[in-house]
Amino acid sequence: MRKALKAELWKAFHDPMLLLTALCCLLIVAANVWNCAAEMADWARSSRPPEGAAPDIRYSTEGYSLFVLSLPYYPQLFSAHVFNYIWPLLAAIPYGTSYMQERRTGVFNQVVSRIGRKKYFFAKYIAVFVTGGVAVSLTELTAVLADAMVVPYWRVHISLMETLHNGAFLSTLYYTHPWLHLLCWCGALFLIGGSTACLTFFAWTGLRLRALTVVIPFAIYFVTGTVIGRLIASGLIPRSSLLSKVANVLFVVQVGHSSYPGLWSLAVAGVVTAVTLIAGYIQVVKNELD
Amino acid sequence: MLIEMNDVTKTIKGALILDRVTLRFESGRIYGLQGPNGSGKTMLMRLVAGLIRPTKGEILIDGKRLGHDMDFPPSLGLLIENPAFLPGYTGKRNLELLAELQARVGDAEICQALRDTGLDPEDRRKYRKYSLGMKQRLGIAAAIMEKPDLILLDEPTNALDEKGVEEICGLIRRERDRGALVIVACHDREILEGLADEIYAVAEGRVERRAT
Repeated sequence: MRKALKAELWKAFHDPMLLLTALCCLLIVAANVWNCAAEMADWARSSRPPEGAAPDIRYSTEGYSLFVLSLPYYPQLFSAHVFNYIWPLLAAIPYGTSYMQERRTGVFNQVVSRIGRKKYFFAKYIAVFVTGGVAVSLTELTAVLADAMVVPYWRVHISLMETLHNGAFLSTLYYTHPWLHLLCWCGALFLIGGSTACLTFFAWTGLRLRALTVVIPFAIYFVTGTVIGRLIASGLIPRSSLLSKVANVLFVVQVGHSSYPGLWSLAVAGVVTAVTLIAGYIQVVKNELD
Repeated sequence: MLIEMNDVTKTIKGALILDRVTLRFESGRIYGLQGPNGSGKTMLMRLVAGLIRPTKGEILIDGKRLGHDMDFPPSLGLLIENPAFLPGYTGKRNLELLAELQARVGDAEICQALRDTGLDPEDRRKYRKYSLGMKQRLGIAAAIMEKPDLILLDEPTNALDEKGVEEICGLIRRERDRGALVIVACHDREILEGLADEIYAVAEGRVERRAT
């Protein structure tokens, strides 16, 4: 298993698609820095009181902390908005298509005839999980570090600003140890991104177009969440029903954001991991090889 | 190694691909499967490789049932249909990646397998830049590099010129002389007659032995 995993991780981190993902992530990070710089410039203009007037409390410096404006905390910025929608794609792009690619080309036969189906599946699963997790969590971490070039760092005081509401991911830690909270959130995001990337194991073997495999996680989260959301809005599904709660969990913007209830974020990662492990195992190990 | 196929039938989506095939393969011999495209040669090889399972019947390898007692034959080298490698790496790197999975062979054996098949281990070109003939040679190199007990080669002479065919036939004979069990599927009867110790004709799912 160790040898198989080593070979899979080597392939994963040398895959050209990883470069494409890195480029997308860098674009998001750069856009976020730009957006943050614009916010700071706006603040600098607005917070300057007219001569003789008292400073306007609305433009308190509290709201212009790294831990308010940065990518994991402020979804209103354009770059954050984009990221919150496309992160399932970012998770799937680096290595999500490799299983389908190897099935199609026949590399799969070469590998399984040497190490067996089970070892192949678990090594592939871990490689897909790790690349997906790294792509998503590293984007957020890089964004915060890059934003630190233009946004000052100070701790947010809960009495002045409730960036993360009670019940959000480790919200108490956010107000006391924000850097530690950021690291924890990136860890959670690694699990969420990794499990999301593994949704690509749902691709059926007859699927020819590589791009469609990448879209599967996004489609599952977004379409399901949106469709159920619309049905709830139209009154066809009662707001208090279980389906309504499921829709909330699946709604892509929330799962990947730090203000989403932490327990639910991790629960989603756990459920998706379990489901993809079962689906992938059936697909790769139990299915007859055609 | 002894492979026994007992009354093996394979159907896919209701279509009969192989019909009650009973065969016996032994080490140190080359077996040829000859037949037109779509006759079931490749399917038979995939069954022996453990890539698919019989609908009826059983395949025994040294008395152990394939698909029950073992997933794949324990020492197997295969080239089935087209050579399959990662396009972004050199031929040698592709072989290294495969060899690392079992760690049975090192750099020397990989280079030797490349040279035996007429490829240059120092060639820096990526697999995607290889000609069809080079791809075929690399596929054969992957099948033989670990000195497996069972070698399955499906149309190994595809895309090779006359000299290339002779080289590969010589290589297959050397593998046989080493003690490997080699099964070669080929639609070209002439090549098989010069290479195989036994030839089986595959047609419409039935397999019959031909005089050699």
